[in-house]
Amino acid sequence: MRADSKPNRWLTAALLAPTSLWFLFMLIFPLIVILIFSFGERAAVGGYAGGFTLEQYANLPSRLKAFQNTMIIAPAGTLISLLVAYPLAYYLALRVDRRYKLLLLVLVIVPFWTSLLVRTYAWIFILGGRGIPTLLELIGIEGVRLINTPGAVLIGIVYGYLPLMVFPIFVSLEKLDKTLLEASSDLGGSPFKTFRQITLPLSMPGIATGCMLVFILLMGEFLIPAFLGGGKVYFIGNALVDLFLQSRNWPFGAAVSVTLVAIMLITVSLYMRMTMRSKTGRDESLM
Amino acid sequence: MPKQSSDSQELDIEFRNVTKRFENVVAVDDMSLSVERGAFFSFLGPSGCGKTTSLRLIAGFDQPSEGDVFISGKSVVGIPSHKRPVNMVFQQYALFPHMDVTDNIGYGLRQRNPKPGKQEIIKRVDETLEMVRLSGYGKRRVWELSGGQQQRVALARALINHPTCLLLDEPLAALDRKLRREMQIELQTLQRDVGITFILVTHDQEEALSMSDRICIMREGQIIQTGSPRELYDEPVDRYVADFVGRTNFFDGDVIDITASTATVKSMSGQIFVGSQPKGATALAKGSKACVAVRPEMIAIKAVNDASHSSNISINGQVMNRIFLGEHSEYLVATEGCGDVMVLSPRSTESMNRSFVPGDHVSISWGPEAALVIGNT
Repeated sequence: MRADSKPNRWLTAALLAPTSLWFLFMLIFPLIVILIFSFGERAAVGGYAGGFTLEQYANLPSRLKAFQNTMIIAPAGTLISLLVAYPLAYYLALRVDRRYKLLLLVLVIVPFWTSLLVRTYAWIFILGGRGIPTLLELIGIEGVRLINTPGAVLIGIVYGYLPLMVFPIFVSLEKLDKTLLEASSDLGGSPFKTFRQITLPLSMPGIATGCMLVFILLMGEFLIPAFLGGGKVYFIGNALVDLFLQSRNWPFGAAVSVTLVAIMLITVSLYMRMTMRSKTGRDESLM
Repeated sequence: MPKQSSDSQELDIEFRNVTKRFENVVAVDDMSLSVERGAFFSFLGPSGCGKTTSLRLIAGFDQPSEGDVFISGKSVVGIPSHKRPVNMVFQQYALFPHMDVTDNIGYGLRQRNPKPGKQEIIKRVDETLEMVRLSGYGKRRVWELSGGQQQRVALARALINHPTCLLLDEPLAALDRKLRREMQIELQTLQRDVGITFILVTHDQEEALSMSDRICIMREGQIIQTGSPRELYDEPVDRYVADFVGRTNFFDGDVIDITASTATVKSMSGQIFVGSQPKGATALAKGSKACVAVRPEMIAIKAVNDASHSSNISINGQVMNRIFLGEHSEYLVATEGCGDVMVLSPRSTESMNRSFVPGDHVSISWGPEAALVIGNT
């Protein structure tokens, strides 16, 4: 062991302390509380009454619809965001004139300067009765209902989460050595083959990061389904809000939370193993 | 058979009045040139002279703004790079980082339509690996290789496609000096073995001189001179070429007399120089500004009281500096009225005469055949 390793170890510990304490008190500790609550019973006036029972978990099927909605719409929303974001990121990173690049990037971020709540509220009007359906009626298409459908929720999701998908993909495409594309073309690769064999595999780290960010956040989403789903498209997040704030059934809410965390841990770790193993070259980190 | 088609069979690459503009910058300016099949041809010039653009016009990464580019007698204007029968070795190699050595080398074959069978690809990759002396490296990741090995993978990846012409963009710039020397010899051997045209872009005159059959010297998008290394060295058409290829002493003055092949120049200090005019240079006029170029190895250095000079031009001076370089010595002589002159004195004459030390008064001289009178551009 080297002589200077000891002070370094103290320094490392000191540097890690704030983060570790934060994680301990703000993440681990609340999670333990939730876990304990989930095995308790509801007090008569609401809240937590202690005890040990598996009743809350046995009751989970009553929220099956929320789980189903989340498990279908979150991956679908992630996929659609990816499909919309990739061409945009590709254009920004590889095609656009250098002079306009910064401006266009700023335009992607600008919506973030306003609260998602306000922006989602605006979508209620766009998708609602006097929005797009009225416009469609003008050209003769009648009876279209957009608001309060899974489609409306998906539109809201793709709109709200697009920048989170665009940026990681943009960064990985921007880092891409452009001479690799010329090399591929020089060796006889058509533009499509070059994209499939060079551009796409080398932008996989960005795709993986973007999908993970969007998917994790979507699993806990409640604002967009509440506004644009109108209580008909119900996410786990909405179930949790109801259970904790409306019916004050804390133990059942805790059980739903624990289940959500478990589902996320399983899917994310499966996903990470999948992307880490894929051949993305030297740069195998997700970021 | 019409003459033109027989010509084009001999030629691999031809430029006819090619101009390439990037917005308002002219990178290549009305350039015409031809490269014979099987030649080792170099574009030589400082950065920004248009040599890389010329190579990219052949590869198809850029299209000419005006003029015509021919590969094997066929115009390729408008044809994208993936449909051209040429391959390139990139300056930083541009190996695909997500593929191993085998997949990198086999990449070109896999783009073919119809695609050759797996066994066929493996066989050809193995053969090519052997050719660049990398047998057994197929499963390595490209970033695990040294610079020289990456260079060979880049060569193999291009050569496996049997291009009519191999393009090399400063391929040795990223290697250290010793490795560069080795790769120069290897490239020459490889070119003789595969027998295809190599077109090299370099800013290193030594590299161009040692490897090429023909060199094209460029400046500001134009060709200044094309010729064999020897022609460029012995008969540079102007001061730029003489200065760029090898080392030269220049003496400025006015042309006072002209014959068919020689010119006489009088310097400001009144010194008279006689020299030949290089073939292909623009003719000088009496009274115009010119310079006399003399290669340092053509100058003899003697003690000042040594009276063995005859019709030679001789100038007196004082030794300022001497660098011993093994096979020869390099002197810097401050002359009376003609500035500092560099003299390379081979060891054989050093041992016959005595060597000089700084401060010695010497006489330097050369015959009229050693001097060239060229336009002062």
